[in-house]
Amino acid sequence: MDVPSGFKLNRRSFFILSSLGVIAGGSACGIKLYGQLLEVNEQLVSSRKLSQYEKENLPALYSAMTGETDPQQIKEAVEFFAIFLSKLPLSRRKELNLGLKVLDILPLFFMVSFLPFRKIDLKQQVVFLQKLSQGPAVLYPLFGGLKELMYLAYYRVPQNYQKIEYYGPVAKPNEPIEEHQRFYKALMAELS
Amino acid sequence: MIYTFEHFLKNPKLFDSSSQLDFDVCVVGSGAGGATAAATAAARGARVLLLEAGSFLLPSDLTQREEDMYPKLFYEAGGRRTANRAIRVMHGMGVGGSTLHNINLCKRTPKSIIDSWQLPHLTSEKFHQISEDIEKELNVAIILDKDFNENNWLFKTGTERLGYKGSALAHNRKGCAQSGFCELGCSFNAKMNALRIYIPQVVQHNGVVLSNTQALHFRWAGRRIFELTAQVIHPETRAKICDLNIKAKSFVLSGGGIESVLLSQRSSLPDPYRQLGKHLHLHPGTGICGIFSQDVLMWKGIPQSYECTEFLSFDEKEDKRVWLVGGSAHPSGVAGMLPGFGQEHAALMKLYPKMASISPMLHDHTEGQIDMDGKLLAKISYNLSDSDRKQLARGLFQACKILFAAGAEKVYVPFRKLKEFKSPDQLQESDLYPDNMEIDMVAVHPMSTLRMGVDPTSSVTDDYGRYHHLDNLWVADSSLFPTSLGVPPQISIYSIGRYVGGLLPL
Ligand SMILES: Cc1cc2nc3c(=O)[nH]c(=O)nc-3n(C[C@H](O)[C@H](O)[C@H](O)COP(=O)(O)OP(=O)(O)OC[C@H]3O[C@@H](n4cnc5c(N)ncnc54)[C@H](O)[C@@H]3O)c2cc1C
Ligand code: SF4
Repeated sequence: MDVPSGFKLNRRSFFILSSLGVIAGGSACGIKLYGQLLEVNEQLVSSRKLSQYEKENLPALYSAMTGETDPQQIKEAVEFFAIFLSKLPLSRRKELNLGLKVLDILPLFFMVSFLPFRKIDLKQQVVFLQKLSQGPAVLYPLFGGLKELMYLAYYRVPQNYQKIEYYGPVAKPNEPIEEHQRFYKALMAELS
Repeated sequence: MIYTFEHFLKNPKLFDSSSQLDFDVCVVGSGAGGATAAATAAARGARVLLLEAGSFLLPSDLTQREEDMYPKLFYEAGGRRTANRAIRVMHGMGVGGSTLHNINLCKRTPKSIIDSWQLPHLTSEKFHQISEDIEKELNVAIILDKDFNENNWLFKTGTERLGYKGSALAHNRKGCAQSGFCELGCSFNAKMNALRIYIPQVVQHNGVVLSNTQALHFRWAGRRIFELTAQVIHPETRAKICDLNIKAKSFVLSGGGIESVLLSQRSSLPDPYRQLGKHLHLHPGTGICGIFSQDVLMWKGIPQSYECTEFLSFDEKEDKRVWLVGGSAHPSGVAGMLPGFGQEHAALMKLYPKMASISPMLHDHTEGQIDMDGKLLAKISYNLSDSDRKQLARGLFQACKILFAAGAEKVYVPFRKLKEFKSPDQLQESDLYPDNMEIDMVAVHPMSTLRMGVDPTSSVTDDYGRYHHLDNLWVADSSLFPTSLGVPPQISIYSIGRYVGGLLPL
């Protein structure tokens, strides 16, 4: 594999350098970057900052769906959501927010409670989700993506996947498989 | 030479002079179709440029963690769904495309399917001859019994006990460590895929591969494309690093069954008969699980090494259109499909080590459609027809029977309201007919959206893969197939890449 000579920066240093570059460039650079971001449009990753609805509803949903009540675990899951959601296209993130808004007000709508979803207690939340998931088909779209997201967060934690006897990664990157070494040798030399 | 976004970050003017971006052939997409078309054209002496929107990932980048790999390997972080949200549609990205994370199983398209296309220049004999060559290059071999994991053993046992037709599947692997993480990319570089076999051939023949580079618009006039605009994009921030304007004598669309349509629609390519994005087939499927008394550990070892073909026939009169294959999934994949929440869901997940899974996959007659959702995302309209639902019910029913025959204590079918069966006597095929959205489905084979045909009013390309209404645009990916294949498509897509790559004018 041919790789360009003189290319010495590795991925991490590129991230650091590019972030520093953006900060140092100040607002002019920021405006330019924003302009560029707009051009890539909806494939763009969205912000790492959670919206108000995400902040309020994701922890509640996480607890209700996974049964997790440990505040530290929930806090870490929220940090994970902030990173993971930033990798979604902007318009998909907006759809998620809409879904969360709808879910939040549904308990009022179904007259289960005078409180929004995030404010009702955990037991009620679980019962409510259960009912909703078996309710009218029109509500089903709310669940598909949200469930995947919640369990992706939950089973990223070793102590959670160990509970179900899953052993996690077994990879030994850069094992001395001959073809592997030949194929990547030149590139690895440059990148590491 | 393979370039990544890092090269462009270092030097955004890397390809500044227009002569540097003037090629004989420019291929968009480096998956099974694109990599093979590019390698074939390069070996014939063409100066080839291969563009890939995803990253060039090394085995050490593949962490075997779902939450890490989904955003790197799949469009929309693996969360892409049909417009009605009923089907999760997984579509890969990265140098090597969907072959990076696929399960490696290899089957040829049946002769009767190819014959039904009635393409004068692409006969079944010719197609199979190409597939045979590809199979040799990819080291395709039947998985031996000794290498079956417990899940596939149970599946085989149940199938044989019922006297159903079944056999071991062939895969493209070499040096496989049997880690079971195929769907998250192979950290052991054991997949004989587009990245390992055809991308190096492109490079060896002086081709240029640009990763993290998204083709945005074809610019065309009359019957010719004169330029392709593209952007190098940072994989984390998605910020544009630089623009590229690419010229080539021929362009090849190989972005896969969804993305190739989006690029065509974004570019407003001539489409007088409104064929772009129509006739979508997905091969949708789902997974059911049997609970056994012993540990199964379905995620461990080589996945999907056995098939049951008792309910799949390519003779249309038989109306058997469901293929059964062993399932395999890592925790969040299983958890997302199982119904229930909180403690109830956790109790089901506790059974994960004892679960064996079978997936019914449809040779679908349903036709869907791809449209743009905004500028770069896809709206996938697809509503399973009544006859396909009946086939699915049959597949679910038979998969349950097989699991019981293999010794399952209970079987779960993940309808929204979980269906639990404790003995085969409780099973009724009609109970398993899914109403709209009653069962969560997954599709990993989008195809037929820019299909080949001799009649321009009902197809997009001719039987050479050349766009009917433009002289220098070709298609080489899953979107070309005129019908559903009914089998996993990768061998046929590599073959179509070889076919088209061999026809491009130099
Ligand atoms: C989870 C999973 C498991 C599978 N398992 C199997 C299996 O075991 N056997 C089998 O036969 N098949 C399997 N498949 C299907 C098979 O892998 C795919 O059908 C096949 O690889 C598709 O090839 P393709 O060339 O059509 O497109 P892809 O391989 O999807 O490649 C298209 C490439 O083009 C790039 N691209 C798209 N648009 C642009 C653009 N505008 N600019 C630049 N680049 C672009 C994409 O990023 C992508 O990398 C599986 C698929 C999935 C998702
Ligand atoms: S099972 Fe084999 S091919 Fe699949 S990821 Fe593990 S080593 Fe790679």
